[in-house]
This record gives sequence, C-alpha cells and structure tokens, in this order.
Amino acid sequence: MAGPPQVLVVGHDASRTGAPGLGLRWVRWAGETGLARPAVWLDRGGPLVAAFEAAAPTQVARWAAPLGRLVPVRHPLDRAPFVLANTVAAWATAASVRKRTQLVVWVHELDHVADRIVRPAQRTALLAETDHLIAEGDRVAAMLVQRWHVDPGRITVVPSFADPAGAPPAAPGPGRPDVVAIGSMSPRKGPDAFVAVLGALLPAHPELRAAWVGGPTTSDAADLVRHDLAAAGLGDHVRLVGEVDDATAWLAPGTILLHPAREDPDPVAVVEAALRGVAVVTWDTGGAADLLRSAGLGHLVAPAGDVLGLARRVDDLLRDPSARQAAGQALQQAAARRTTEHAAPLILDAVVGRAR
Amino acid sequence: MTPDLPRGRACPVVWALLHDLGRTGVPVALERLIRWQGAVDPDAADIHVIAGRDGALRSALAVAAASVTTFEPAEGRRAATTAALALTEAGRAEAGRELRARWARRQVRRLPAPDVVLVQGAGAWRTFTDLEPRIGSARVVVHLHELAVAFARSGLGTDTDRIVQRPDAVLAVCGAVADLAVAHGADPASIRLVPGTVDPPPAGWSAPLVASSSRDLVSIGTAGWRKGTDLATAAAHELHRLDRGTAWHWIGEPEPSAWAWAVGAADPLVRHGASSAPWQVVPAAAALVVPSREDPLPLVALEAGARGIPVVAARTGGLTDLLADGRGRTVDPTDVAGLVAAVRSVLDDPAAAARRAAALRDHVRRDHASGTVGPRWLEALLGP
Repeated sequence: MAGPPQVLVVGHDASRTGAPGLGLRWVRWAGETGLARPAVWLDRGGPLVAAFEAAAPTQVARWAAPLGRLVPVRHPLDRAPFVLANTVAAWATAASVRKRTQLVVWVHELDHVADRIVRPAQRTALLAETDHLIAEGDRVAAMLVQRWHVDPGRITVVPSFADPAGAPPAAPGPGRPDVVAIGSMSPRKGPDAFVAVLGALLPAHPELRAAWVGGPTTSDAADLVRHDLAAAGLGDHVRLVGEVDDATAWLAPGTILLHPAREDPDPVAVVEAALRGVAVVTWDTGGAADLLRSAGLGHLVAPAGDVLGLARRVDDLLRDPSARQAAGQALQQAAARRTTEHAAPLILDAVVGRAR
Repeated sequence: MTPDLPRGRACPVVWALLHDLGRTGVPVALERLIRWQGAVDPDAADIHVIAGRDGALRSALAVAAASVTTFEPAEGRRAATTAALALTEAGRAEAGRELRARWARRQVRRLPAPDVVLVQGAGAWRTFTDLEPRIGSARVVVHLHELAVAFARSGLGTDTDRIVQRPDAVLAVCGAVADLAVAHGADPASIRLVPGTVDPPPAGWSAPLVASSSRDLVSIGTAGWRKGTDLATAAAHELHRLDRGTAWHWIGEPEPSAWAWAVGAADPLVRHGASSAPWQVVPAAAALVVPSREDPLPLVALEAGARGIPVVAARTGGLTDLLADGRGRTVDPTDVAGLVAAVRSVLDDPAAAARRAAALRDHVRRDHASGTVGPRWLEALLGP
C-alpha cells in the first residue's frame, strides 16, 4: 500500500474544549509532517471548524447525532481508512463507517461523563467493534481496565499534550488576575468550588483578583456561579471572562492556575500552564494531581472537595512568590515532553497498529 | 395513569397540582396537610392530587386524598411526552406544548370539575397551564415554596409574574418567599404565610434534649448545589482535620452525575441514600446541619426541632427566623469556615446546644403543628 496511512478522524464537535483541541493538534501535525493523510468528520460544528478545514478535508454532519448517524459518513479518502474516534462521544458515529481498516477510540472521558454519553450495553457492543483504545492518561487507562474490563494489551496511554509555550504573556500587573481557572463553566469543572475557595481567601487577601476563563457565561451553571459570587461578596473580585480564542494568554508568569474540577482525566489547561511554568493547585480528582505529584508537588494537591485545604495551598503560594516560581519550574520540567511533537507520533502508532 | 376512583362527596372539589410525588419537601408538606384535613374535617373538601410525575409519596397520598392522578411514571416518560419533545426538537415547540396539554387534560377527564385549584410549588405551574381550559371559574391558589434560584429554574418561562398575579390567593412558606412574590407583582393583600408542618415524633422516640456525647452530624435532602452538599463536604474535611471522631452523615439522593466526584475520590461524608425514615438512620445525632445555599423552610429542620435535635443552618429563607432567639446556630450561606465554627460550638458545648434545641422544640410544637397551620391553610385554600 503506497503513501502515508489514511486516517479519518471522527469528532463529536468543534468546540473550543480539550478533546476537539487535541484532535485538531493531531490532525495538524499529521498533515504538516506528512506522516499520515488525515480527513475529518464532525457530528456538530463549532468555533474550531475553520481550523479543522485549514488542516485537513473536513465534513460537518448536516444533522446532529443521533439523527445524523442515519446519514453515511462521507470522506475524501480513496482507501478504507484507519478510523479514529476522537472521544467516546464520537464513537458510535466512527463505528458506523463501514469500510475501514480498523477502528480506534481515543478516550478523553472518565466515568461520569463516559457513562452519560454511552450506556454500558452500547459500550459493550462498541468495544466489540473496536480494535484499539487510546487512553488520555493513567486515570482513563485505569477506568478502561478496572471498570470497563478492557485487556491492557488493547490500550495505549497518551497523556494530554499542548503546543510548546511561545513568548510568555505579560506578567500580572494592575487588572490582571492573581488566580485563574480555565475550563467550560460546567459543574464538572467546579466553578462553584472556585468561588468557594476565593471566598475563603478573601479575608486574608482583600485585594484578590481572579478570573474564570471559559464559557458559556449565559447558562444555568453560570447563574449559579453568579449567585455564589454575590453571596460571598466576590462580585468585584472575580471576572467571568467567557470563551476566548487563546486561553493561554491568561497564563502569565506569577499567576496561579486553580483547577477545582470534580472529574477531569488529564486537563489540557493544566499542561499548558505547566509548559509555561505557571504554578497549579488542584485536588485529587484526575490527571492534574498526577502531574503535580510527578513534579514533586504533591503538597499542592488537596483531597477532593476540601475547599479550605485548597484555599490554604493557594494562600501559601500567594504569600510566597519564590515558592510559586519554584512550583512553576518543577511543573515545567515534569511536563517537558507533554508536547504535540512527542505525543502525536504515539497516537499515530496506536491508530495504525504499530503500538501493538 | 388512570386515577384512583374518587370517593365522591358533596363538598368542594380541590385539584391539588404537584410537579412530582417524590419524597421531598413540597409534596410532603401537602401530604401532611391533606392528612390533617382528612382527620379533623373530612367534609371540608375532596382533594384530588394531580402530579406531573409519580413517586414514592403516591401510596401515602392515595390514602389521604380523594384520588391521585399522575402523568408520567417515576422513571422514564410516556409516548405522548416523547412525541411532544420530538416536536419541540423539530422546532415546533408550540405544537409540542399543545400535544402535551391535550394529553394531560385527557388524563383528568374523569375527575369532577374543580371548585378550587391549588398549585403546590412553582414546579406545578406548567401542569396548571396545561389544565387551565378545564379549570373554568375555579378559585386558584398558589402555594409557593421557592426562593429566587429555584423559582427561576421552575420552568415558568414567561410566566414568572403571572404565577403570582393570576391566582386568587398566594400562600408563602416564609417571609422571604412572600417578598419574592411581591417582587413579581403579587398583591401583598392576597398573600398568606402558611409554613410547613411537622408530625409529632413517633411513640418511643427518645428525644435527646440532654447534653449528648454524640459526634454524629446529619444532613438530609437531595444532594446538590441548592442543598449545599459541596459545602458540607468542605466543612467535613476541616472537621476531620480538627476532630477525627466526628462523622457527618448525608441522607438523601446523590448529586446528578454532572456534579459527582471522580470515582475513587475520598468523600468525607457518610452517604446513606434516600430514606423514608431518615431519623432512624442516625438516631443519636448531635445536630442537624442545613448548609443550603437557598432553602425556604426545610421540613427536616422542623422535624429536628420536634425531636429535640440541635440545628445548625445557613441563614436562608425561613431558617433565619426559625432559629432566631437562641433556638439554633446560623451562619452565612457559603461560609465554610463559619459553618465549621458553628458545628464545633455544638459539639464542644452540648449543654448549650441542648438548651437551644429545647427552645426550638417548644417553638415548633407551638407554631408548626398541623393543628396550628392546618386551619390557616384550609381557610386560605377555600376562600371566603
């Protein structure tokens, strides 16, 4: 078979969130290196559609899933492709591609999200059709083995990755936040906990400035956050920024990234912060905690739901710029290989079967 | 679901509309009042319960009420609702709404025409609008149990003002709820305060009311943002750091999965799930803790009072007045450190906590007995 392998990447949408962003990075890398010939199918559109279209031939379903699954997936590839389902949410659509060389699912979800998207009975059927699984980090791999009962030999672990940091954004100054969180404003990402932590910090840091970067800011979840901000007297201290083109612009040196997600396999925002030497504080609910521990920063990980414990850790870093800087440097070192350049070939190997 | 056959008596017919028959505050409050009315003045009204969704309270209501009609099963949905949703998804929301409304009216066609319609909680308003063409000139009474956030999330759509302006009378479970109704245009003269009621503890209940050495704390309710389960979790972590002997029990349905913690995450709360007899789960509790962000007047606080159990609560809704004058400890909602301090004060000084509990018990027996609240409710319901 001549030429690079043809890979059809199937995504559930083109939102500016972790999994579509990782998929886009991989498609770009594959096209630019010429190591694979990608095409893209998306069940839904979103703000990243143009970027996908610029990187590879891209088709967006005319009808949203599940109705859209009645319409055959179209792609411009001239051979039966390797099919990569980018997230569990795109798995059923990817499995509907009839002529394929093999099917690989890139799992970016942990239990609660995965179970909402694909019920156990459907999951069993999809697993039977799937040749290989890529786990976004060790926590996802543990879920696949321990709770989905997948043979470890069918799993390749590829922690989430990001593009290397360019020039750092300006250091915090007047108006720039001391503490930021990056993620969709959904209960899973813990914006309520973000507010609770800031509320606990406020008496000792009356000038505290913070920002939640990510949307939507008009939703039930956002209304609850505003309720909490008002109740805690934080209205003038916290900015709800909404969705932005480039969230890394908020990761200025000296800023603290507070990541209070209830469940998050391996958040890209934390990797981006690490690559920029930004200190991170989190609790033990996913890959962020594992990255911190691998950097020798287990003391910056609080038990799940321990708001005051998290606040004390942030307080320590706010009071000690040198500790903040040291934490950032340790993270930067630990995350040095969490870049597209290092991770994308592992994805390709898993997709075409070279990993097994 | 076909209604249980009405008993049929020549007295005012009341349709009592509920969002659902789950074992939560709004349906339980109604069940208690209907049971009281059946016991003391059964000829005052025939009350037919009509609920959007079935639930655990059905059997109790079937005994107390003249009939019980539900539109949806406790889990899942009927074909008519699925069809209505499909129409909405296809951009024909009005057709979907009309389909659902016609189907709802069909379910109550065997019921006698109402003289009074009681909308029990803002969540039942949609059922009211579905049935409105059958209601004719009946007296309409809304009994509100919601504060601002719950009110806004009750599916009222554009009816946030109409729900308090259309009725002939508005009942509110506490002053803060009455204020909300006035803010939406209710006539202050049409509002009556009708709080929740509490049954006496069962025979054999051993009321603490003496200094207790228990380190067991209890919170009761459906876990989630409104009930402040995350704040209880945060406070429990801190308490464990300060006093490893403390156990904080949460009795109630777990959070929706979007709010759930990662599998394997350490949970400092002892979770028990929902119970039809929550006070038997941890019988020797040192205190009931109500960490709610928003709670008009939770029945569990009244039940704790009736049992002589100390209460620590967030200052929200009617809890502030309930626990005023030395009847309990209150803290600012979302103030985790304040909540920890209040709980510790109860654990560290059980004699003082017992004195507050005794005062709360006397208050609850006087102001929240069915015999006190019931007549006000019935008078407001049936009108002049």
